[in-house]
Amino acid sequence: MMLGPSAMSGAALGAGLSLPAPLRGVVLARDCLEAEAGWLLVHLLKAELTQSGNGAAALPAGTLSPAHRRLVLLAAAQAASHYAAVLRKAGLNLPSLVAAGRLNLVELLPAAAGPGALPSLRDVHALLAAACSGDGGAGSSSSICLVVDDLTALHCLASNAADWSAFLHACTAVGQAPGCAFVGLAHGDVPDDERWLARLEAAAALVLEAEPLDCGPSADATGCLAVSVRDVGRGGDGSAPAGGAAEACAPGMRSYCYRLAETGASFVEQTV
Amino acid sequence: MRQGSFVRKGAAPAADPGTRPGLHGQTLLSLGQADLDRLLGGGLPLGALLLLLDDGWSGHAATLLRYFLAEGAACGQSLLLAAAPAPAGGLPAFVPPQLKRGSAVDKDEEGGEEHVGRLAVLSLGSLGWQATPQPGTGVFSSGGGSASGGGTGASAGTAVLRTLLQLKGTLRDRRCAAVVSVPAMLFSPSDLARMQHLADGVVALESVADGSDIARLAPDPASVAGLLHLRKPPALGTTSRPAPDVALHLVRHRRRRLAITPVEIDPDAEVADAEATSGAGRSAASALCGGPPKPHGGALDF
Repeated sequence: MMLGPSAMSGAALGAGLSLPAPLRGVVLARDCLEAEAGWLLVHLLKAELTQSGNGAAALPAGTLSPAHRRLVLLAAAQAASHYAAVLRKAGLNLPSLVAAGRLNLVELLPAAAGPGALPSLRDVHALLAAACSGDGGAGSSSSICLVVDDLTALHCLASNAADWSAFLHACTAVGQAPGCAFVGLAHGDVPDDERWLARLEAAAALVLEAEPLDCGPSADATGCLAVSVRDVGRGGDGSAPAGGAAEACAPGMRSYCYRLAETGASFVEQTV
Repeated sequence: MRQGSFVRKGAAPAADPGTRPGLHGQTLLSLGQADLDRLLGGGLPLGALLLLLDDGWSGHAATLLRYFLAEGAACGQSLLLAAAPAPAGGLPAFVPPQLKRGSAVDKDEEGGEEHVGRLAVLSLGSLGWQATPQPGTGVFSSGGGSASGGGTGASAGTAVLRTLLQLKGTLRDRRCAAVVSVPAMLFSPSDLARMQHLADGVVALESVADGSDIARLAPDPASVAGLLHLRKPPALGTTSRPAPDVALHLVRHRRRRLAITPVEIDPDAEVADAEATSGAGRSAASALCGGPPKPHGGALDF
């Protein structure tokens, strides 16, 4: 196995990582305890928020362009302060983004700490539906990018398997709508979750799997990222990606070594 | 001579006793055991939940919880201990002597600064916490302790997961930290995996058999009391989790206190063990060169 040069394309998110952009359909991010992929969600969030080229600048209220997708982040495992800290290191200001309507953050932990029972999946679904529909004001977009962190934590709120299947179906339905995407982080080292993970993977257009290195993390590499593109990056309207993004959208599997730093991750594509 | 242009306005705020500043803007809480603090990168961040997976034989989880509470009592911090059933010897024997005098009192005054607090949960999910069947229905529901149950049919593992989620929500953005011990042998591998993902930090404690290789080959084997595996260092507000240099450590009894040291192999003990296994006497060549030549003419191994 040789470490080859990175395959740069117009869809590169980090130094060397090529993914379809914008994300379409269902995207499954899978990790394990030895190689967590929470950083990958931050990576994808940053890519989604900087798609328009406005970078970290807070947009004045009411000037949301119809081309911008509504970004909804369901934080089930971490609090808003965690995302504020990590996004700040990535060059984004979370409070400004929320105030400008670019990002809608749905927090689960404050509701979990409140008096009474934990919120049910129906309650969570209602919160997500309200966040996805938005206020319908001027400039609001009908396209949605739903990011869930993480599905395994949400699973403990399910009262039964049917409840959980219905919730997953609702999330994947969002991702399969034209111009929309659903990004879900799940832990692949839970044996009992293999069944619904397999169903989710079958419906996914893009699967990102973080794996630990056999020799453990080193100074040059933290882990491996396997990228499986299962579908050509077409939106629900049948539009095909243009330009250099077509190469990144080609179905296939690619493997990268990634090195994590506080400001982000760098990638080197592995070539056999 | 002033080197820079920054001028401090007023005196720097004094750190709360028992806390220290950490990386990434975190405030770290001492766990009362210096070796464990060093292992976790200086301490437990405020707002974090540390999970201790106990194999049920070592008993070191309870000892570490006592250290945690004792440190909080010594620093005058607010303490809360939840245990069901009561620890061996009763609760009075478990809590630090300072607590018996009532020196640690929660004085959360309105408008005042939030005090640093510590929450310790002993054996979450053990017999006293487990779900109890509803009479006549055969359906299990939550009962006892503070384990919050889900709806009808929630298993003990799901109840513990929900409790951890509630604890996490309680701790976040608050000036307190929690250490929760869970008897790992009571739960399925799936529930344990979910618990480890949910917690901010995970430490697994195992007992060591007297005749095991680690006990025989470690330096000072008489002091070896157990194994400690740092599976997940706590990290809040960071992109990358710090990777420990050594994940596996030995828990030792040294002069009536616990010590946590990295796993090391005594080379003399290893050689003696290898010779005892092979059954051969010690030749002059082995004494001088580290071993006789291999009978099959194998390649030199430096």
